[in-house]
Amino acid sequence: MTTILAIDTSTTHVGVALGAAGAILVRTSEPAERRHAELLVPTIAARLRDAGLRPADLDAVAVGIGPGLFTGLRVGVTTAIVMARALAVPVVAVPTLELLAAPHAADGRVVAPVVDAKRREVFGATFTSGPEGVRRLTEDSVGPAADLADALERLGSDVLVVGDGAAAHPDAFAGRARLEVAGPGAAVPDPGALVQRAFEDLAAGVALDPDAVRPRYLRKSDAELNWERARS
Amino acid sequence: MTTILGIETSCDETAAAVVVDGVDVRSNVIATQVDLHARFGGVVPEIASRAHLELVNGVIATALEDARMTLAEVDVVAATHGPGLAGALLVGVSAAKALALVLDVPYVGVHHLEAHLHAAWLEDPEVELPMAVLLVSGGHTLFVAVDGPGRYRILGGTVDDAAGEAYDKVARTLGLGYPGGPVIDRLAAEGDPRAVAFARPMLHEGLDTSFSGLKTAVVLERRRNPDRPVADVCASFQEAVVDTLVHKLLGTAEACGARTLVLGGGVAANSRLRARVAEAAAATGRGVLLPRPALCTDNGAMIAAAAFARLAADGPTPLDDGASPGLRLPEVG
Ligand SMILES: [Zn+2]
Repeated sequence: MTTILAIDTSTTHVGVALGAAGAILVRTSEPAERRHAELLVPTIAARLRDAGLRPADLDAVAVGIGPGLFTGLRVGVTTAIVMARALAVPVVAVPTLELLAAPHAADGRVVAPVVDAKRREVFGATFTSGPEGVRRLTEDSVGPAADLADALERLGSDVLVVGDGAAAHPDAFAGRARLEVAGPGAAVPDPGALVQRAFEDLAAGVALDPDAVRPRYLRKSDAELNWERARS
Repeated sequence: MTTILGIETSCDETAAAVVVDGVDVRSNVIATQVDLHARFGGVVPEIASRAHLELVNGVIATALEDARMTLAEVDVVAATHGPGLAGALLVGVSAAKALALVLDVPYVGVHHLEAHLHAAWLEDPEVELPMAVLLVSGGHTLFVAVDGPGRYRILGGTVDDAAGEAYDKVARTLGLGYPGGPVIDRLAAEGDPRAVAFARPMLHEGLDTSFSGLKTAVVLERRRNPDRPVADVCASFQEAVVDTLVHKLLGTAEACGARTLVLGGGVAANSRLRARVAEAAAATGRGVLLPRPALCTDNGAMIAAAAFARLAADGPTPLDDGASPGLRLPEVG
C-alpha cells in the first residue's frame, strides 16, 4: 500500500491531501492570505490526524512546484523536500499548471491554466483535453495578461480558462468570444488531483530525490533583470 | 541531555548546527552565499531565498554528519524566525517546522539578535556579567547591556547605516568589490590611519552611531586627493569607524557596569576592531570576549544555544508561528 502526502502552496491557497492504495483519504484547500508558512505544517498535522496516519507511514511526498507566487511556493517546496529527506522517501514534483488542467480532461476543449503573477502579468500554458487525459500543448510562460489572452484567442479553437489569473485580470479576459473562464471551483489546484498524479508517477517510476527538486520560478529576481539590462 | 538542531537562514548564510544542552557545540556548518551576491554589491533577497531552499537540506545533513548523529537523536529543532529577510527566514522556519513534525519534537523560533548574544556563552560559559556587547554586521550595529540569558537592554544603535553597510559602500566607492569588510581591513593594515582626518559623527552624543556621512566624506576625499594611496584612505576610514564603535562600547559598559566587553556579528572578524576592543578592555580593567569568527557571523550554533534558553523559559513555539522580518529584541529594563 502506497501512502502519499500532497502539498500545493503555489497559489493563494494552502492545499493538503493524503492518499493511500490508489484512493484519496482526505483533502483540504484553504485561503492562506500570505500566511502559507503559518498554516502549512499545522494543516499537514491535522490531515494526518484525520486519516489516522503518522509521518512515518508516508511513502512519498508530492508537491506543486509552480509557477506561482514565490513566497508560498518556497514554503511548500521547502516543507516537502525537508520532510521527504527526513523520511528517506522520494518526491513527486508536479508543475502547478498541469495540476490546474488535470481535472478538466473530460472538457474536450483546449484547457488554459492561467495564474496571477502580479505586476499585470500571468503564468500560463495550454493543454488539450480528451478521454486520454490532458496533454501539454505549450510550455509554461510568463507575460502580460492581455498578451496571453490575445494568444489564446489566436489559437482559433474554443478555450476553457482555469486558475485565478482571469479573475485577477478581468479586463484582459473580458469580451473574448472563444474563451470561457471557468468558475471559482477551478481557480486553485485541487490537492486531490496531486495525489492522483502522484499515484500515476510513482507507478511509472517518475519520482525525484528530494535534493533534485527545484521550484519553477520562470522569472528572475529584479536585481538580475536590472543587471542584465544594464549590461546589454 | 537535550540535543538541539539550530537552523539559520535570515540573510545570506545558510547554516545549521547541533548543540547539546545549550553549550556543547557538536557541529557548526555555514554555507555562505557571498559569491552569488558579489556582482550586485549587496545581498539580493530573492537570490538569497532561492539559494537557501537549494542549500538547506544539505547543510542540515552535514551538520548531523559532523556531529556523528542521526536525525532520530535530535530532541528539539530551532530556527531564526526574525528579524531578517522575509523570504529567506521562511525557508529556515519551514524546514525546522517540517522536521519538528516528522520527528515529533518541539520547534523553537529564535530571535536572531538574541542568538548573537548567546554566542558569547558558547565561547565562554563562565563569562563575567554584566556584558557590554557590540553586535556589528552588514545588517546591524547595536550596543546591548546583557545581565544574563533573556536579560538585555539595548542602549544604542545606528540611526542610519550599519557599520558593515558603510564598509560595503566605501569599498564600492574605492572600486574594491564586495564584501567590503575583509578587503578594507587588509588594505588598512598597510596604510596610515592618520592620513585623512575623517569626522567621527555623533561621537559625544549618547550611544547611537551614524555612518551614512562617512561614505560621502570618502567620495569627497577621493575627488580632492585622487593620488592618495588607497591603503591610507582605507586605514583612515576604518580608524574613524573603529574609534566610534569602541567609544560607544565603552559608554555602554559604563552605563551598565559591565565587567566584560564582547563582540558579535560579521564585522567582529575585523582585526583592527578586535585589537582596539581588547586594548580598551585592558585599559579599563575589564575582561574581553572575542568569539571566534564561526560564532560571530550568522551561524546555527548560536540559534541552538538561544533556543535552549528560550525553551526553558517559554516552552516550545507553536507550529502556526511564521516569520517576523521586523521582530524586536525582547528587552527587560
Ligand atoms: Zn546576524
